[in-house]
Amino acid sequence: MAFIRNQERMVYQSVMDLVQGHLTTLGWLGQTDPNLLPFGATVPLTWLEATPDPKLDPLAPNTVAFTEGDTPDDEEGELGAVHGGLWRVEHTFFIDIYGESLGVAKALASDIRAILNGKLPGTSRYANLTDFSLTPPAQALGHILSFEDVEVTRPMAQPAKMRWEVVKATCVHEFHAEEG
Amino acid sequence: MASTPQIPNFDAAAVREGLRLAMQVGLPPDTDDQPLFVMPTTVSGDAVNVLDAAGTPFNPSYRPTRSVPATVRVPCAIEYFDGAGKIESFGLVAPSHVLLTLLDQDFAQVKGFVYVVIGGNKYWFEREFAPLGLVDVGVHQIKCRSDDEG
Repeated sequence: MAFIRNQERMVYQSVMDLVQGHLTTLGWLGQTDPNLLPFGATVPLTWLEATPDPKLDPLAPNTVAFTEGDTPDDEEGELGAVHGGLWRVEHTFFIDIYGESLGVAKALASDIRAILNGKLPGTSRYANLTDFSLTPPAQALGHILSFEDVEVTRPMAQPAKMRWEVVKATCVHEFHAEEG
Repeated sequence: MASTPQIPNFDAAAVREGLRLAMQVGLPPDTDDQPLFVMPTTVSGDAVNVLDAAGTPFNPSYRPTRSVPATVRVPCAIEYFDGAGKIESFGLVAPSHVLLTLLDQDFAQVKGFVYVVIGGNKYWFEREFAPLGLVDVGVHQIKCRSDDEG
């Protein structure tokens, strides 16, 4: 029930693991036979941890790129947080989807959105933070993650780029900690 | 193709032959790297499973039948361009595109293509400009956008 050194990295890793885990359950990831991909997709997913730069880097169809935006300062969640109270910090995640077709892009975006807003079976808007500094990694007690503002944006609306969809989500990390 | 010559003794066949030769000179020497026009794939489902316009089923476990697309290789002139960079919420996207120039008879063979593969890179059909003419030889220009594949 305390601040964990590098806990911001652990939020990033926990959310990415959560998305990857559910995509594996749904058949999108970990599928060696392209004929078994869901929704008739024909190209296995490529997972990136970087903003795609189509002009400089190869970008295959069905690429999913997981990136994080700015992390603001921690906010006191209740009076007296300085002495061991509740803190809250928001992380913004972007999941860019570059589908082999408009249908596959929408299918992936729809599934990822439903993972993060807890609509698919086995999913929830709430998630545990994993303390990756432990051996083996285990749930970090006193920390909870929740997802808000899970949105799909389509920044490139031209016909040639309609296969690009972006799922944006705010992950709220609440935890108990003392200052200093 | 114009139905009647506009200039007496204009040898359209010779002009086409010369232009094709010029196009061929500018193409990559390896045939595999030269433009390969890929025609649409036919996606067919059944009476039970619904497909969207792209042929993607709404049933995750259903796989529609996809035909192998026909491919055509014809000579053309290629110009490479970079699109203007545009800042978006997730970063900078500045895809490149190509402008293909084809003669009327060759264009007729590839009309309706979905994408063209040049040197292993895929460029999607984006738009066809208004047709041009060299007397009674038709000239067509098509803009294609990079698929961003390496």
